[in-house]
Amino acid sequence: MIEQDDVFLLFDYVGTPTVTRVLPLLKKYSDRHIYLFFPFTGAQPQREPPYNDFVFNFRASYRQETEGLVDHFVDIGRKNIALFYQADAYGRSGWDGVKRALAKHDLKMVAEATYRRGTGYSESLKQQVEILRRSNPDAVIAVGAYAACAAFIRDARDAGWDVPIANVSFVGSENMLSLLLASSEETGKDYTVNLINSQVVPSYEETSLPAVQEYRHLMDTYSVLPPKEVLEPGYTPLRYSFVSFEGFLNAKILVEILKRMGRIPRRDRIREVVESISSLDIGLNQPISFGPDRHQGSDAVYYTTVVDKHFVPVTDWKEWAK
Amino acid sequence: MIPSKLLRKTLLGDIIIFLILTVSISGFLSWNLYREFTQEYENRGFVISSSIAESSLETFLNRDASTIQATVDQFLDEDGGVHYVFVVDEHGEIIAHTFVPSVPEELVRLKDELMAQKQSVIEEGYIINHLNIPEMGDFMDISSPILAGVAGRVHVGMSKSVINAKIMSAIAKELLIIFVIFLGSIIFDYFRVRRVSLPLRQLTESTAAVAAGDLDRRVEVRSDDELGLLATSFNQMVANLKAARDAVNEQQRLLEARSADLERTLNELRESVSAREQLSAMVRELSSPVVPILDDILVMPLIGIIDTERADLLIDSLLKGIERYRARVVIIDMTGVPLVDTYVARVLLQVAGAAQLLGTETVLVGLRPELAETIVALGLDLSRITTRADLRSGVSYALQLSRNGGTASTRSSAEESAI
Repeated sequence: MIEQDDVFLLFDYVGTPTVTRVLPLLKKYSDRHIYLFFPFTGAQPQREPPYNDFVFNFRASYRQETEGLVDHFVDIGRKNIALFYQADAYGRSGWDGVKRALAKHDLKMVAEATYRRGTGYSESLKQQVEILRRSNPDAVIAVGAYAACAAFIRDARDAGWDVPIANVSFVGSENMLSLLLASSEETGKDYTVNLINSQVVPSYEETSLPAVQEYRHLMDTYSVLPPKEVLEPGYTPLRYSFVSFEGFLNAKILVEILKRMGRIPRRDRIREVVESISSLDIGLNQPISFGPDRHQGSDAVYYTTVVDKHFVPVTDWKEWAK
Repeated sequence: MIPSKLLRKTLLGDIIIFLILTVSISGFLSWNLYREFTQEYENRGFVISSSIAESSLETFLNRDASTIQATVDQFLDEDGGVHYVFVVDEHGEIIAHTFVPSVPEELVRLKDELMAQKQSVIEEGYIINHLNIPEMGDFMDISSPILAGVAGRVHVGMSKSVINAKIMSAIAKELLIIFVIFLGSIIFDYFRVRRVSLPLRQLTESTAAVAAGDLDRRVEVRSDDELGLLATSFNQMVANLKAARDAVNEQQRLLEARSADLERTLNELRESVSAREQLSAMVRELSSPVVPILDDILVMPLIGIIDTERADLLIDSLLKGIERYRARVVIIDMTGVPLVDTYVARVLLQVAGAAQLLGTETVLVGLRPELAETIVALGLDLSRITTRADLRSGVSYALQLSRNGGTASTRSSAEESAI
């Protein structure tokens, strides 16, 4: 893209391995002022030297998400925390975040188990459930993709294990929920209990927020399908989702940046323009700021849980107190 | 077609050679391949572990696990034998790994052991450990130190089953090639031996035919090699044999012809001998003829010298004549006898004696004076034989005797001689 298409900037890359692979290239093309904007990952590499100069993030990092989860669990007396994660850089960054957050409290993970990237919902993750359950943890943090995490939750609950399970934002909360609800319909068992998902954007159910109103309005007005080349048969886009809401917010900030670039945007000015953004209101009741030492717009982490088949903000962690 | 012994032996030889070849080659090959593959995998593992260890020094110092994980994931290549990679930090904690669902206990133990002997391990550089992980198989764990060990170690697990599979596949390919060569050589040998055995069999059959007498049998000369030479020699030999036999036959024929000639000659000879014998018998008969001049009077005129043989004949024919003609008187005419010796005189006496026994009187006539002189000179006694001067007086004496009967004749003979 950089060589042949001469793109102006890179935007919204999805996934930790994807982003970590691209980082060295960004460094290589640093003289051409190629920047990656708002990658859809909370991983650490793009937030740290030597790559933090070439990336602008919007969302809070996995470290922040996992730190928030760990802090809350520890607060309510759930100190023995186990980790279920994807065997790749994404899972590892979650693992790293949990480890650091626990270390802050002089704690260590009591158990960890991985799964292979691309594991489907139909596959069994009983082995992982058993490995973690052996250490009898107070809570499980899952850093994975929706299908595998849903399968893990299903197998844990099927095994009669009702430990609180927390997922991070990347999981794709709605997809995970729809799989679990489908299984609930089949077996009559509620797979959504004791489920907590951390998010880096507010819930799209919080309609009091102007950004949510705008997002919902636009999503209701325009129904856009993915390009034909990548459209999978039987795919129906979700009406709203945390992921698309995050994408919407990413785009909103990018548009603001491009506006500030002036009539003739120049690559060499990107950094200067973005770093000058301070207390930008995008309708989240929370100002967005960038700076030379701050390449991440938001530090906010939101927690949601399933009530009545919907993700709603967590109002009281005491619910899961030990 | 019944396979020839030669063919069987050759094929058996092929199989034995093939077996020896297969066993030795596959043995050598697997040993060699194992060594080389192990070495190669060891090198590969070392290169991977050391390159991870060296390339990400910065990352290790930054403590960014996800970047290390990303690096580690890049090197995972199960088909290429790289079955796992994991990174241990200086505290002995595994900060990145590729295991699902968790790090096997064996490797946790290995890592702890290496940590326990950290000092010596640092000095050794990279370390190879061979271990078996249940449900995963046999591995060669190659670990390299990060920052000479102060920042931890990188472990790379090379699957031995992949090495073994590669060795097996290499051996299988080799064996396939050997088998194809074997098959080719069998086919080649089959035709080659057939080329030898077929003419040999024809030669054998032809030899048997020749032995049974068929000398017109020839074998086809198909090649200019030893077999062709053999066939040519055989044909030459049979031709020579035939020539020799024909020569013998010719000789035989000549011999038979000569033999027939000889037989004929012999027969002619036999015939001539028999004719001569007849002649001789006739002569003999003629030399002592007995002539009946009257019913009971026989005359035996003697001509020539009387020898021993003739004397016997004379006695014999006279006695036969006496018996035949029932003669009472026999006149022996000595007119033709030139010589009388003691032997002849004794014969005459024997004749007379024998005749007398048959009742026949013997009259000796024609004694010439020379003979009489000789008889006297020799002192021969012929007094018991009646003698007369000549045949005429002898016949008249005989007639007289015949008329008077036997006794008178004896008396008269005595009288006459007394007279």
